[in-house]
Amino acid sequence: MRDQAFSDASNRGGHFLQNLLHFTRLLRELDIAISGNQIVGLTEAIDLIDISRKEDFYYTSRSFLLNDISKREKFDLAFDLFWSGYIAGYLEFAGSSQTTTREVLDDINLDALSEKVSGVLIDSSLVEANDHQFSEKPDLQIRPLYSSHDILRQKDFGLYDAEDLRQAKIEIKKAGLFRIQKRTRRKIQSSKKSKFLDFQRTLRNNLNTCGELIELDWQQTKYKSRPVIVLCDISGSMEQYSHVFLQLLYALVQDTMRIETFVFATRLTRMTMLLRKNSPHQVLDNLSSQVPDWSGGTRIGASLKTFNYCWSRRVRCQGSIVLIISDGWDRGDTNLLRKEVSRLSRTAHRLYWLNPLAAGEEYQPLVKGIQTASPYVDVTLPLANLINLESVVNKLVNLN
Amino acid sequence: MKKYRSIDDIQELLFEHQYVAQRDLATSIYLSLNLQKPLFLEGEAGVGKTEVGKVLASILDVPLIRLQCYEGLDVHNAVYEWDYPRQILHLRMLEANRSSKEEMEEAIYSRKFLLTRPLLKAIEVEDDRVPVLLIDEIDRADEEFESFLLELLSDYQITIPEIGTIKADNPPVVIITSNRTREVHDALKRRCLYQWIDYPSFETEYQILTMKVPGLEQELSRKIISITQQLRDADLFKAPGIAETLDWGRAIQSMDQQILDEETINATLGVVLKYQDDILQTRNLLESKKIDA
Repeated sequence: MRDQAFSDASNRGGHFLQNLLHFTRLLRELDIAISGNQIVGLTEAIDLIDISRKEDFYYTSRSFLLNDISKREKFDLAFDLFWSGYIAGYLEFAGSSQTTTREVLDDINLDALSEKVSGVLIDSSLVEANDHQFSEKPDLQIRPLYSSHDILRQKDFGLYDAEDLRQAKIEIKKAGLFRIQKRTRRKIQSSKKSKFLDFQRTLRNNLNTCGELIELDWQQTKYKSRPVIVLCDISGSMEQYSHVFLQLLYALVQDTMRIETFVFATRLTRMTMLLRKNSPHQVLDNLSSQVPDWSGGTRIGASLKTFNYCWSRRVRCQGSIVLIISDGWDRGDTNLLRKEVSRLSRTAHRLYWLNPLAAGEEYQPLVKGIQTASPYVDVTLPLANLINLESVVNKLVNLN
Repeated sequence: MKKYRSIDDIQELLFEHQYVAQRDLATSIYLSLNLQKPLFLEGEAGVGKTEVGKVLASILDVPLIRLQCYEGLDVHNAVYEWDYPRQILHLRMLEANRSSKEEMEEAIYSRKFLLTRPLLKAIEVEDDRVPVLLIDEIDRADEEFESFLLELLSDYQITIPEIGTIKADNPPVVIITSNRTREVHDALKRRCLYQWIDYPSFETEYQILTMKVPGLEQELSRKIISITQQLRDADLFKAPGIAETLDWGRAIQSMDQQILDEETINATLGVVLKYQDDILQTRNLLESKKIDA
């Protein structure tokens, strides 16, 4: 309910600004001096950022509203309390009845809040003990109900409706920006001393000193992005996820140069070109003709075999990161699957299995496909919501 | 360079030099020689791509300059490099003679300190024996290397910042091969004639085998080729190429075998197939008579 209120408030620009005003007043009540210019500046800045991202919004508002580092803790707590949705119920009220800020603040018992905020600064345990003035416990764990966006982050991909997908696109797009680095044998100019001397430049720069090499120029190893290959299961059992994953593949192909994408159910289809050259709508329109087995049965082994035999060498699977996105439900031959996964794992630099069903705590890898493949898979990770996606991306980036 | 009158001429010359070329390959070699365009050969491993370069060098009776590509291949290994130790020594001498900075610069960036690598060597020819430049397995080099080649392949020239542009008086015959482990950039392919070399037909392969492994029993040759051709149709991870057929022929010849029985096949499968899975599968196929030995 509270989140809903906040989401509505933040969606309607007017109310969001009002809330922002309430927030600045709260800060003033806490002895943080804020001028009108600061607020104007912040409202302009907000247009430039994605306010649904907690961090960005926090840093932006902090850089505008906080001038005194000694008050930072106060600011942080006020920020968390205010935007965690704790006061969101009142915000809605504020939005609907045009109440003045003063009234709203009175209403939420600002004194008590300030007291709390200052109290927390002394001993955070006191707050929990003293929260009787609030109908509900304040959420000092800061994780929050920030906006509908956070709910969305935790929402299972399988439960997405069209609106969720639309909202998640930015986040999915960000996931597409990751780069995994790989060392090459090539050298490039380096400003720092390193193991490798750049003879050509050193000599040229030391002509004045007649071959006495005084200033040395160095080279460093060049890194380039490691190729990524995504094999995404689009069989019937994955149907609820496939639209989100298609969006993910699209984002990856659009933003990452060294990527190859394939989808499979009963047979393997290369998607890279289709995704690179078309808009998402065109992709969806063309799917049925290009991918006849969409939402069909699953033959993971046979699909991987096609990949190994026909594509692995062409798309330079050697040295690349292979991501298999699948729930592991397989109706094909287990021996074939074992053979092909093992071949794939020997060829790839790392083999990741991303499973949308593995997100639940009670998840057990009972499915035949997963059981067969897991000895050959380097890492198995859940991929059922945006938070999972973020951690997958983090894991991959940290491979560097 | 002398012009070749017809495709038949080329095919005959290739044959004389022990290379059996199918008509399509002969055509593109003919065009490449007459139009002075690089020839880009693609095909599975072991179908005789590299051999084209070698045979052409021997047909034209010119040196073969071969550049084997690998990941990380750069200008210093492919085009040119300065001889730094000698440059430094020379600088010291110049200093003793109290030369000016300009003189020094001119002196040390002269040709005698330039180490030529294959690509530059192919461009700089003193007599008129224009070499054959074989750039082998370009798909192994990284994308950055392809861009070095662009200038070379379109204008047959190489630019060295300290010296200037070196242009070939007579362009070399350029053969580029690729195993297609990755797609080579269009910009490079655009400058070349493209030829895909396929596995040969039974008759062609028989011709090749009898030519390259003389003295091998006729019946034995036919059997070897029959099996390798069947293996290419079987669902193997890596089908045998012509190189493997020839190796097999030589192996069996060296074993003094008169007949190719199942035991000999099993013992020598490692010559033809290089993956354990493929070998096991072939044994099964032989056992179940799906491959006719």
